[in-house]
Amino acid sequence: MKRRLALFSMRLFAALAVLLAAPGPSPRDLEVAVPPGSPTAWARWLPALTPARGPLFPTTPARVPKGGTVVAAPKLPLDPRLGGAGVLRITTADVVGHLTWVNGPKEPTGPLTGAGGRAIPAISGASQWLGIAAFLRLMLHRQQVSEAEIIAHLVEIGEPSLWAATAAGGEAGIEGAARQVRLRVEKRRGGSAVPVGATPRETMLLRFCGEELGAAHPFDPEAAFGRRLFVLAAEMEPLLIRWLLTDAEPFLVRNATAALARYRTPTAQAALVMAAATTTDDVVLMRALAALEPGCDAGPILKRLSANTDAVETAALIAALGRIGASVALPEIVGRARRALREDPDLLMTALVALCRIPVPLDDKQVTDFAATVRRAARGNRDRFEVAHGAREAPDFPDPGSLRAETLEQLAACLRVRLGTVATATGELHELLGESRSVRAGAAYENRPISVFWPAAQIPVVETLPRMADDGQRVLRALVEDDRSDPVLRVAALAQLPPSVRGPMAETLLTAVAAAPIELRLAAVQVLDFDGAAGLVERGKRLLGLDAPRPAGASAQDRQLLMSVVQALDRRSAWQAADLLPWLPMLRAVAAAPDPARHRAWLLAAGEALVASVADGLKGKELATRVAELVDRVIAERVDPRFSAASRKATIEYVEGLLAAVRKARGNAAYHQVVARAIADYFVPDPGVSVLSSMHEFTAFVPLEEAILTALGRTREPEAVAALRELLADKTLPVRAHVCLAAAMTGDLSLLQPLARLLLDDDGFVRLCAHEALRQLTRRDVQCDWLYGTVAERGAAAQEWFKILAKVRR
Amino acid sequence: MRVATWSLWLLAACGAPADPLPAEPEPPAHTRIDLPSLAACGSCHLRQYEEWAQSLHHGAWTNDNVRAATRNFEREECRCCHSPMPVLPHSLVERPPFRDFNHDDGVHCLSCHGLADGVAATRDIPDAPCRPRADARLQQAELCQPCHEPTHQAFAEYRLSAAFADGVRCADCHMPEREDGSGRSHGPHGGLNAAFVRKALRWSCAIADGELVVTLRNKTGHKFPGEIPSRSFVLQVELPGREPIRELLRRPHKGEDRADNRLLPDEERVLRFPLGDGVAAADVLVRFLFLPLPMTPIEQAFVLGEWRGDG
Repeated sequence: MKRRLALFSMRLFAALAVLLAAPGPSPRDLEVAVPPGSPTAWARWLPALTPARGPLFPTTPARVPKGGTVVAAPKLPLDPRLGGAGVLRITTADVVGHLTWVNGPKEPTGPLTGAGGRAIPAISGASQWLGIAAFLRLMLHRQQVSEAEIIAHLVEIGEPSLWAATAAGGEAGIEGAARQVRLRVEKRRGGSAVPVGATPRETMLLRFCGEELGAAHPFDPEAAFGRRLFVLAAEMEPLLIRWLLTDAEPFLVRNATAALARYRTPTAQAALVMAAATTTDDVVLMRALAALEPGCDAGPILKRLSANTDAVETAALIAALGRIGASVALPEIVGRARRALREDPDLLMTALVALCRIPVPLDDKQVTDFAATVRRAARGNRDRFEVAHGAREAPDFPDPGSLRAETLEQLAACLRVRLGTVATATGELHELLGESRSVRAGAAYENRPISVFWPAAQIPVVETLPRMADDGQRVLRALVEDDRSDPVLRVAALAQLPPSVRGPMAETLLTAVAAAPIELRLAAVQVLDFDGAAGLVERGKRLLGLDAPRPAGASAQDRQLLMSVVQALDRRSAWQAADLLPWLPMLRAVAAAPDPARHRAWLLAAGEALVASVADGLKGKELATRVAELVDRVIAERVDPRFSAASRKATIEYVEGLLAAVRKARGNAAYHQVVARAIADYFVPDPGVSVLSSMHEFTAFVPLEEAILTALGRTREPEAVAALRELLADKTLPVRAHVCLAAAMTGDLSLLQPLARLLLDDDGFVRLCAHEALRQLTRRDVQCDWLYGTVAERGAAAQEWFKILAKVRR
Repeated sequence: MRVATWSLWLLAACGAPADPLPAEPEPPAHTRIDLPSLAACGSCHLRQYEEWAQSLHHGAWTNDNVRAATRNFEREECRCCHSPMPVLPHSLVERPPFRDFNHDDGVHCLSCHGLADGVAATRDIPDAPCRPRADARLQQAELCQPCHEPTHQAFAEYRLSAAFADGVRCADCHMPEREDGSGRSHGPHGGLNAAFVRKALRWSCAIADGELVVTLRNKTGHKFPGEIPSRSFVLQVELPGREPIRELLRRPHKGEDRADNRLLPDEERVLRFPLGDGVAAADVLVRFLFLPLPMTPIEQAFVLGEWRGDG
């Protein structure tokens, strides 16, 4: 029996970059790279927070009892959201100089209402670029992508796509798609109902749920959608389903769909299937379809497909059925694909990818015949499948007319191998792989092991290679090890290798600091976690130890890697408090939103102090230490992405250089002032003429500190309790809510009083978490609307708690 | 990497202690291009430093637009002009060598003033701490050529201009004499300075015979927009009931199928826009917009001027 490759879901994904980090694609004059796979899967690669599996406070012991258990946690399928760096890939730095429409709509779009009458959140620069990237691919590389799937992708993203769709409305070649996106996203058939709970608590949480759903766009890479919503984990799931079923504001229903998509539980999947089968809202449909996992009920989806005539919906339905491996859908998909062979090359491509994923019975002649037909047709006339388009702009490396035919042939080859009944199929795929010796001109990544394959066929071929025995494994290994290959493909290849092979590779990748891209290292954590590899604990602890001296200098990507490690080892109960305590000082440095004015103020003060000290004789090692402290604080507070652990040494040298003449110019007050200002200016320059904000690396929110706190609480050790007691006393900590939850996880009743004081916190979410913690520790409850109740109500409830706690024996 | 101009070493003889060689003195700050300009020169030349600190010369390595356009200087051909070693000892025709240290200082004071064995100035000052020597090249237009000709091609354009013919040098416009006669300003007198750019273009508008007639005259010694390849000038004509008409003057991007329609040095160009029936002069609005950097959004363009038909 073939081993199913299944990995635990990721909790968070890498930060996005508009311009990829080396060794990514070279800059081009007008180009955009097309990521591997289907556009309907692109949104899965975006940074996203996900809820913990199971209840917030586990009801079973944290540690496995002596003798172990016989019940293993169900393993979820591989979630391909393994990095965001591939999603944009716009390799033209000054694209706004080439195409004026990427500056945005001539008239502002909106405001759209949809969140209880309030305007929806602003569309961020990151979201704008997401939309631009998709339209650029359609415009510049029409042969490589399906228009219907691009539209489905943009509709899935939802309201933020309207920005790019409105802007692109006048551009030849994509105006039709832009119009489609606007039509599908803007149509709003929904009510304004608000679900009411059966209990006051449920009502409070439903309201909280609604507010969180309306607070951010789910696919905005920097918005941290669900940051508070998912903290309450399993308890929120039924409430989200309530929102999905309520005739509420469309924006909230759409976001409830996106939130449920991240739960990956049977009940969430069932709700999403029902939504996909019945909804009339295209955004809900696309989000629900994109979230479906193997094992869900394909019947309602198939039923919708059978009656469907809309090209975009059809493509999304077929892609979803393929992803869930719905064998029952084979006849319908093959039927549609046959018609598409004559009239719709886009749908044909979508259908072939789906067929490559669906387990096909060995004696299924219709699929075998169809694959042969496609192969013949694609080889017979290379230009037959070229898609007409009216784009005026051409990229640096235009698509050849034969590209679509080649893609179809490649997909057909994969399908024939997977069918297992075509004797020559493996040879044909070998032939194609053999052609992958030279790098395609203009390729974003070299992908040498599979360079001949076009993007739509790249993931299917990686998924097919395990069927080619040793030869297939050889290619997979080469792909993983090739640092000039697309990180997405390398990750997919790693997941396809057997545990005995991928385990050692993953262990090496995990601790390879500079060599491997972050996506690969994150995948390594997943692989080791899934395979139960012992090496994860040791290497994970070593990784945390390596970064401990300067934890705050880590980039968002590094933080994500660390967080994955923290969570993986937490699931194994592998942490001791001593491992995690060195990270606690970082909690105090958790920054609020970037604040240039605040940064400049303290930098000026720090600069003046440094200058004064140098003028008084500070030098040598002491000076170096002071400068290093300043630079470390700049990095910790994320003043500017330019300053990181990687640039620390050069930054320190520069600042030391700025101070080099201070001592000699002792007495020159004017000069000293200029030096102090120069230090501040170096880190927080006058913006002058500003850049489009999004031409920087996107910084996804990574709740590393929260994960550390949770893990610390679960150690249940006295040192953890002591540390948490101290943290509970700090009312300025941004992560107070998680400190409360961590305190509850210790089970230590000595933390009751410090927790109770937070019932009166200004932040409603902190109050709620303090209450939940007290509930967990005491098994008592005091009914109160901790989030929205009046001060008097909350005060009275807090007094009740104090009385209860006074009687609790420690 | 920091490059020290001196190294210190000690020799010890076997078996018996020997006197170490005396440590060589640290070189004077004004010779050290490995130090930020503020330390190398700024303690004495504070005013010049403060002017220069506001310019794109100082920001040549750190400016966000530059970093995006060069992909954080993965484009190697850009590095040597954005972090240059001194040009005078090298060549006024070729790009200077790349200064692979102290990048963040951009175009350092010594990039222009550095000599192999001292500092260049417009006159000899033997009793100044840095003892500068007069070097005629410092006052020649060719001083700017090594960096501003490759890629940006400003120098080749200058050679075609009346300014060149009249002996007007780059510095005469871009480093004007200070009002107090204390020398030339080292500040941002270029494309990032809206007031400065306004002087580059003379324009006039008139309505005649149902047409809007716009006359543009390039007052610079190079093309307009000039220097940075993707600078744009947009003439925007707004007429009632119609989408605004935008006339874009920009160098074409590589592979772009359009001509380089920038104003040539000294060129006067007349543009005509039919008004259409029923459009009154008072309804016509003309805006002259300049985008100094490739990624400047149109909303942040410098407004060089506006004209309304009603005067």
